[in-house]
Amino acid sequence: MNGIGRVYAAINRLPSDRFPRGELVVDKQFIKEFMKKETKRDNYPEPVEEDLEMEIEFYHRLGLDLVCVHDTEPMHHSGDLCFKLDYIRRFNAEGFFVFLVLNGVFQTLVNQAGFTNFMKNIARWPQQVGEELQKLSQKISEHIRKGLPDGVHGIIIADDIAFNRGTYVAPEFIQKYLLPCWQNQVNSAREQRIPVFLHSDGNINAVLPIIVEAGFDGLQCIEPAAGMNFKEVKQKYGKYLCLMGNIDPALLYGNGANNSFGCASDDPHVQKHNFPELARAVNELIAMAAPDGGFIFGTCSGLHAGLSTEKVKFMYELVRNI
Amino acid sequence: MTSLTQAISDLNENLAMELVKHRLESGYKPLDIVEECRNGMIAVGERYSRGEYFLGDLVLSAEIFHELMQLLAPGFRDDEVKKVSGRIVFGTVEGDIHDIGKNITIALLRCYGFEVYDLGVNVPSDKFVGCLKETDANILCLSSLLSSCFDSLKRTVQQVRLFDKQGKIKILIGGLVNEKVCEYTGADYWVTDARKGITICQQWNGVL
Ligand code: B12
Repeated sequence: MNGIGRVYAAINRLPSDRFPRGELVVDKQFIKEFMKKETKRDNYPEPVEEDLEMEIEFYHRLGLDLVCVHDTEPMHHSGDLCFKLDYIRRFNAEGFFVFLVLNGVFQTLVNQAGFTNFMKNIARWPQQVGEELQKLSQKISEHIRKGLPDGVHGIIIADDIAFNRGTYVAPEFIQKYLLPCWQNQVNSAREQRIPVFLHSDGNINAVLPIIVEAGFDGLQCIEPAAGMNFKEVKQKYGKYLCLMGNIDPALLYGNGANNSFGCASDDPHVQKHNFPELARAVNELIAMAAPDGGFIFGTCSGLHAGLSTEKVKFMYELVRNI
Repeated sequence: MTSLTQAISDLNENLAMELVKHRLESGYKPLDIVEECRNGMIAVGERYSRGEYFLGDLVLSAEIFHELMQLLAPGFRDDEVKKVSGRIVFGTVEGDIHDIGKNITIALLRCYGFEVYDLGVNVPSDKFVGCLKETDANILCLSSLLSSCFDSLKRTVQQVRLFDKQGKIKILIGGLVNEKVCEYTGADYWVTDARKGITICQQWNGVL
């Protein structure tokens, strides 16, 4: 069984040889640092952006089953989606499940208007903003309907609607204006038989029922540092949503000695974080999440330059041996 | 609650503007009007703490307050203008570019009468020290959302302590921080909420 089969099995709750693993984003700089240490090779070409082979080797080494391909120019003036098609084809040929990551309507307007302006606009003119969201959503849905590049298996809609205290806007606004947008996007993907996940950071407990109602196949992040409890989410919504996450990136910083704590609001979850702590978090997550499928292992926010390559390697080796 | 305080509490921008204009025309003292506006802001903060209002509402309230102050400014006498709650130097520490929370907190601090020097994001420790020296501010606010930047937080606190031999400067950290981070960095206090941060600054300066 390859990554494609495993991710489909997780989404459809079918039997599989093991649970799949995947990251929402892996930045090139991290891959480069990791591969330099792994191979003791220092002559990777610059710019690293171009080294597809190095990336593929990296994904294999970590034992990942899926790759997330991001819109390279989300603010492109023509509104067209830009993806590296050769990458998608190669990842597919290597047996990786390929997710396209598209900015959702909320995220797009945040980027266009600037966060504070957008927040103010919603507080002032919710209906107008709601209409703008709908219009934008039509565009996204059209893109999906027009057909996605060959080799794409799934979509992740990235809409950061929350932070540590909860959603940025009232759940009523999300119900009234964002839900129809999400439903529209999910339906157009359904027509193509493509599963759709939602990504949002932050504490989204209050809107989980809305996310389920939208028809998403999965949910990525489930940020523990923002007070999201994986176990509870799985118990209540695991039937409807395939859950992808949720290792706290704070566990992966530093080498244990110089940065021996994580961070989180005033959440009791915060304590000493080092290798044993990381091992415990990984073991606990898997023991709770893996039985009965519907789970993809990974971090909340992806692998970024600055994370400890040793810890990331340690984590994925641990997962492989479970 | 006065009608003006209520209008601000309800985020009714137009009504609040009308009421302020009307009060000015009727000869109210600008400083009394400011008091009503502040009470409105306090009410907004309480509604936010209760979960009735969301972040956008908080941002909007700061904007409404700012607009009302513009209306009132010409009426202030010189000696009244100087009546500030205190001076604060504020920035996001080196290595970190998150500024949404910082900007909201600054807008609110200004509503509460603080004079805030905003140094922006990714600010090296010596720049904080330089600005504290220049402005004679007695509060330093540091924002950080990245675990990888706790060492910059610590470095900044250490450098400030080094120059502030008499211990006049209070340091407040905010963002994705906690008790442990506060201990590690040696800051005086930590918050994860702008509203609470304002209360702390007010307490430190004896305006509460
Ligand atoms: C928006 C965002 C971004 C934006 C920032 C845009 C901007 N102009 O600020 C962008 C996309 C640029 C970004 C980049 C990155 N981000 Co980011 N980001 C976020 C996100 C989604 C929201 C943060 C936010 O603005 N919240 C809203 C504000 C209002 O809340 P707040 O900051 O907590 O502020 C409140 C209070 O804390 C208080 N406050 C804040 N500061 C202070 C200071 C004082 C003195 C006081 C009194 C009060 C106060 O006021 C606010 C109102 O109450 C968080 C997720 C999360 N859970 O928070 C991740 C998050 C912070 N990012 C994260 C990461 C890892 C990154 C990146 C490294 C990579 C990435 N994932 O994209 C880069 C780093 C770039 C850099 N060098 O700084 C991680 C940090 C993990 C960790 N433990 O270190 C988080 C937690 C995401 C996650 N789930 O892992 N990010």
